[in-house]
Amino acid sequence: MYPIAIASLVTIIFVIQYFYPDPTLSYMTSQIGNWGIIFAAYAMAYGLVNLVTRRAMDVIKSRGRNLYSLWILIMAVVTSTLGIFGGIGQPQYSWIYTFIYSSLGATLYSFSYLYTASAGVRVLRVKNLLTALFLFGAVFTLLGDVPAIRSFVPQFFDLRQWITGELARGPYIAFNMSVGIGIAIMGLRVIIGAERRWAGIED
Amino acid sequence: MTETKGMDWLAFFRKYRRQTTQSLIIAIIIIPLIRPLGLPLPITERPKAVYAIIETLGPETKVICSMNIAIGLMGDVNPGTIAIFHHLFRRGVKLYIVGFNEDGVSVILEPYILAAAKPEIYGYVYGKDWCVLGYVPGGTVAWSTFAANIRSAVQYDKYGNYIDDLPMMKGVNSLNDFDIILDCGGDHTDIVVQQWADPYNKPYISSAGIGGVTIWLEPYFKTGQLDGYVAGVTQGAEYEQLVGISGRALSTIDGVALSNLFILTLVILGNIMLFKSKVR
Repeated sequence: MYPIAIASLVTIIFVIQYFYPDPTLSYMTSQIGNWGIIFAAYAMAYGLVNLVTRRAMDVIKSRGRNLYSLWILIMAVVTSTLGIFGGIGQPQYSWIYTFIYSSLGATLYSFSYLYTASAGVRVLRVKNLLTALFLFGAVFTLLGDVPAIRSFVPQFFDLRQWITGELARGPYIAFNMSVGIGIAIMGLRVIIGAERRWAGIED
Repeated sequence: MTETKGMDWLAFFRKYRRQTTQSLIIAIIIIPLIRPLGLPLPITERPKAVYAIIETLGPETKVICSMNIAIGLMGDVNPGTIAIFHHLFRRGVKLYIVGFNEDGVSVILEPYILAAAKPEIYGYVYGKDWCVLGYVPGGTVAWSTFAANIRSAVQYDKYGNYIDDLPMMKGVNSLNDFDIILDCGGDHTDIVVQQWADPYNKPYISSAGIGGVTIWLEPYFKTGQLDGYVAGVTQGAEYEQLVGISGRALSTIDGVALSNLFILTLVILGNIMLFKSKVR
């Protein structure tokens, strides 16, 4: 019950402060914001504890992911130890980030590009009117994206801008409005205590 | 005989479609890196808008830069960001950098952005001309709190200095004290508009990935809530041309152009083959 009451109170304070700016309310929202930042930092530590617990159980109970789990545990311990005791400026810690973490991140993104390319070739087939429209949109967007093509035929770039800017704007605004209305409804449900799933309470 | 051979190739491609496509794309990207083709690169309006805005800035201008590049998007976002940083340093602005995601300030800023843009060659001194206010966790709440009162969100910079000891932090208390917003990453455009640019009425420019153009950048640019953006490696290369530097984007742009054309060719060929098989 307490978490729901706290969430309702915090939401009400933020809503009132938004419509009626007042120094006391501004101070309160600022303090709540600070708590939010502290909680977010704490959540990272909690996430690490959760990760270590789950992966350790994988290893102990031999759930078939032993090697991966063990490797995650080793890296979590090594990185945390280096970061906590040496600071984030320490060369070994920086090395792990630069040569392992960032390289793997960039590699995964590159893979997604390759898969998107081959998937695009399979998906962009004319089967009916809608897929034909989809194909034409994709073709002109791609043509407008190639600088060498648009230097000879600038109209391709104009068409691409029209597709991404004008044609896509309407649905995007509608999508954003529906998300906004959804958030407002969710906020109201939190304020009156009708929405309690975030606190782990099922109706 | 020739037809049979042709059919064999077709059968091979059909059987190993994914592998063949991906191998050819890799080759098409790598070959221009080794031997650049020097394909023409016209400069578009969005990077020109960013360039024009930065040209109006001077040594008294305070730029707040939210560094939120995701690690996977480095290849796409970094070239444009580095070119913008060069331009900002050339104009002599005061640059305040802060991060709201895990990667930006912690992983990407120093080894990739600052190592390439090199503030020291422009005579920049840390704490006097530029500073890194570290990573602030907490999502939207962190953006909002930082904007309202910097010291309630950040008390020490990334290197452990008390921010009040930095000369450039004197008189800088909230977002009201900055002149322009630069967001690097582009994934947080909604939050920047809602928490920073609109409430504090500040000009806002962005360096982003190409994937965010349609849904995040262009709608806000059309409404005037975003004043300009450099999206993806192509516009990054355009910005490098504008600033007059020869960076990574210009060296990779031929590969990007050729790979796009290759995908386009495959799409058209695939549809011709589909049409032919239906006619038969």
